[in-house]
Amino acid sequence: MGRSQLLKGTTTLLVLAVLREGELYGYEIAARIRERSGAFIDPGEGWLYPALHRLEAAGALEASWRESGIGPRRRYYRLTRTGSRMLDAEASEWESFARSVRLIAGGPANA
Amino acid sequence: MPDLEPIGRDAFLQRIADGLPFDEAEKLDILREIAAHLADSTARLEADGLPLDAAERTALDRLGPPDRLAVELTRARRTPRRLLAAAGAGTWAAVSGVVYGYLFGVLILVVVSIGTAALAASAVHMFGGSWGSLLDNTAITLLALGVGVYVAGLKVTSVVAARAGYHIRAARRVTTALGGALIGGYALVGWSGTLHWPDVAILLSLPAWFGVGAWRSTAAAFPSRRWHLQILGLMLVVVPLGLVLGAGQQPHSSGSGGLHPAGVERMGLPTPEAVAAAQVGGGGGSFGGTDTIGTVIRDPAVLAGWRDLRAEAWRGTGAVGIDPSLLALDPAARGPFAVGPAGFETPGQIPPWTWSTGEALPDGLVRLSGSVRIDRSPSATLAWVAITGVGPDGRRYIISGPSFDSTAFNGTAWDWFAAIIEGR
Repeated sequence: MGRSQLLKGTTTLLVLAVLREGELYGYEIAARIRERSGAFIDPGEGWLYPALHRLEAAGALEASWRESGIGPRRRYYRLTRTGSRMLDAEASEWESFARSVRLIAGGPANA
Repeated sequence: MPDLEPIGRDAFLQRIADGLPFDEAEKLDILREIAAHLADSTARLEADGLPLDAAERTALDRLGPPDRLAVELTRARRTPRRLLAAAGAGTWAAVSGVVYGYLFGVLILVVVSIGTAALAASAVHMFGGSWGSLLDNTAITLLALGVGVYVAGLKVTSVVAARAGYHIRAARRVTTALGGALIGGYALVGWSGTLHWPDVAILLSLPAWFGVGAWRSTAAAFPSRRWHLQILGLMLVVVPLGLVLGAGQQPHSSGSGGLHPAGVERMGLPTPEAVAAAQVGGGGGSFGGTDTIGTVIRDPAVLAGWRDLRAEAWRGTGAVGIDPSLLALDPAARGPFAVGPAGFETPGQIPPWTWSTGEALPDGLVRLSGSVRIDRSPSATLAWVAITGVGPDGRRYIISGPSFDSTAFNGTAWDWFAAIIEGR
């Protein structure tokens, strides 16, 4: 399975996770995910804005336009309570899934 | 599908804008965000050592094909809540569209009607002849309503599309079907009043007015100057056409005065001498589509043994009020187009058209009266009304009348068709 396919199932988790630390705008979110993954997750950015807008429509994120220190005005995203609950649920789901995959693949379950 | 030809930043953003079905403010919001992203991404790539052109190209590539991005952004923003908001906004757009279009239509129609009527009057003055109009108040109102419905179609479709997050070509299938069905239902059973065939034709065309509006709907701001000119042009054709087509229409008229239309024998045998001699006066009138006819009788015993007394309305022909010798029962009428009850009134009732003083009938006199709806036949413009009854010999006689009254159909378009099917 390619990385892009793996990414499809984890975009919600990735976006919500990086926003747990504070509000960010779109480019920063993509850059943060890239940095945190050691550039392992770098599939392009076409997925980012649809995901952000979907999460905003679902009430998981709030967005507002603000001036930034440099460059144009940016649309900053912030996690809502709904988003925090969604993040917990997604993280738990991912943990269960990853543990199961490791078990099947023969690795240690708690690695 | 990836782009075969590389495109620049502006073309990339334009392709996204073209693919988004939202209103201008929402589109701008999305495009500003993407543009800011591209600026950040390009700046970062330049800082990493890429030349500007290559940096911009790479930044665009990382976002993927603009058409696909537009599709995914649209899907992401399309929520059930938006559909609910679209339904509300669509309802408001329909109401405001109908009101705006109706008022504009009335204004245009009145101005054009007055202009055309003045021209026609001048022509009649110069060249003689007569003219009338099929475009009565009902037709004028319905035509204006048609403009209103057209505007509603224009507005509803663009508003619903933008609010729900669908392209206009998709939204108009829904708005045309739903709006057309609602308007069609209203046209058939909702609108009730005096109807001539042009009115029914306009009523039945209302769903089409809406459909054309929905099909011509665009995301552009409404109303435009071009639209106003189109409506003005349409009315400049429709109104004079209606006036010309209506030449020869007759004004309201009624009367009796002992007139005997050709073919009156089909209504019944002439009044028996004894019955005629017992009558001291009579009269009738029409109100709200019901024609009432009555006669005051000195000795009610003269009708002893009579049965099936009723008021009958027969379709008439002729140039009412112009030449009484042309008055006739419609040769094609094989029976009355409407029938109503007739009977003796209880003592003390005061028929206002019989005794103008309003006094009670003198002792010994009774009034025989009957009433019948004459506004339920689409083809009847003149009704002959009489009280008839079956005499002791088993044959039907005319007891009172006939008198005539001009009439027009009154009801819904559905009633109109029902009457035609029933042969009224």
